[in-house]
Amino acid sequence: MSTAHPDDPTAGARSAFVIAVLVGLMVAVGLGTYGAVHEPGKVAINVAGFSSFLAVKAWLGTLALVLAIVQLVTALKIYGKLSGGGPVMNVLHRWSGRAAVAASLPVAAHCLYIAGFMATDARVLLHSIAGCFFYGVFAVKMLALSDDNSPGWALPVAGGAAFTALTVLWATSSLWFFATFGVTF
Amino acid sequence: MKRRGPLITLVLTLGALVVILSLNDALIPNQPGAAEAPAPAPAASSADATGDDAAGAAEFPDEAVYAGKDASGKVAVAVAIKGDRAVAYVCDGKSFESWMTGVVDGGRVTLESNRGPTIDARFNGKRVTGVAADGDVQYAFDLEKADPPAGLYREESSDTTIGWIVLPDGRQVGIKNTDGTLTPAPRLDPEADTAELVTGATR
Repeated sequence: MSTAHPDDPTAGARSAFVIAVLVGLMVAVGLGTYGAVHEPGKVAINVAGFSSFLAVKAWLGTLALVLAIVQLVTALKIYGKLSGGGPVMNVLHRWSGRAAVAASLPVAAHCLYIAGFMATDARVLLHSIAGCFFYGVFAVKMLALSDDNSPGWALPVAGGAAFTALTVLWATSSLWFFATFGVTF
Repeated sequence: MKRRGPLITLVLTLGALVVILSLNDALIPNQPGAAEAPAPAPAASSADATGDDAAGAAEFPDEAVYAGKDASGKVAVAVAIKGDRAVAYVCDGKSFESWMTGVVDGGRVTLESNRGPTIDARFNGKRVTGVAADGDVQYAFDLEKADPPAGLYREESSDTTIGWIVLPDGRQVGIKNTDGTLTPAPRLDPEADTAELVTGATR
């Protein structure tokens, strides 16, 4: 950052985005570290109507994925890659995103608290990595969004990465659950 | 220009995660009755996290074995039912094992070992969900039916007992106990070896 000329108007924007990425890295590494060092919890919980909390997680994860697909479609419309748009897309994108993250929170908290960062097999390792990465990218995207000076490619890249991570998370958990236990509640 | 909405979203999200995790640590010390503990996340609850007593009214079949890994993937659990009697085995395939015996009461099975570990689980008509407790450590599990060649196997000689859990997908987790020294079990060939298929009535 010290190499940027003080008169360069993009220097501040660039350094702000570098900070956003650093914060995202800290979030991802922080979650992974918590998952690795925290003594795993010892609690079985359930929500009435579901056979197990694994089932609850599988469905919350699926809800998050559906909302993420809404995110992808509304983002494409906002950027004019799909026809039909308008201001309503901005609102829909904003709130589907918040809802997706809200749906992911209890799932992530349960994973981090009960299991932690694990590498017992490829699925579990991939899921652990993608989970930490997802919240890191989410942090980068929120910080980039809050600053109009962030580079134009920042939001599509962060959004695409978040969508990809969530898809990997869903495939390594909810899809595995449904394939193993059947599509049950 | 700074836009505050995304920052608020970010702070609320990360804050909620930190609060949930800290509350878990603060409010749920390792109590054994944890199966009735409330859901850690308000967003997860449809307000009534009442456990599964009411819903799990199904009764166990007369004879069956259920097996699987716990939620963390650290240990394998097998529960064998026969009539009103049950045998369970929990092991990590490396250095921890516990045999338990217990009783079946409708759709509920409770087991204990004379060394301490216990299991409390319920049958939902298809799978067996519950908790294995070993002192402060608890393993939450959700087991599926394990028909042969999957199941629970045991081989005993004068100084050695080997236990194997063969999961429905064929993976094996087992412990060889030689006079109290625990080592990973050798691979079991369920078709050929002489190991005994454990039922709920095995003692």
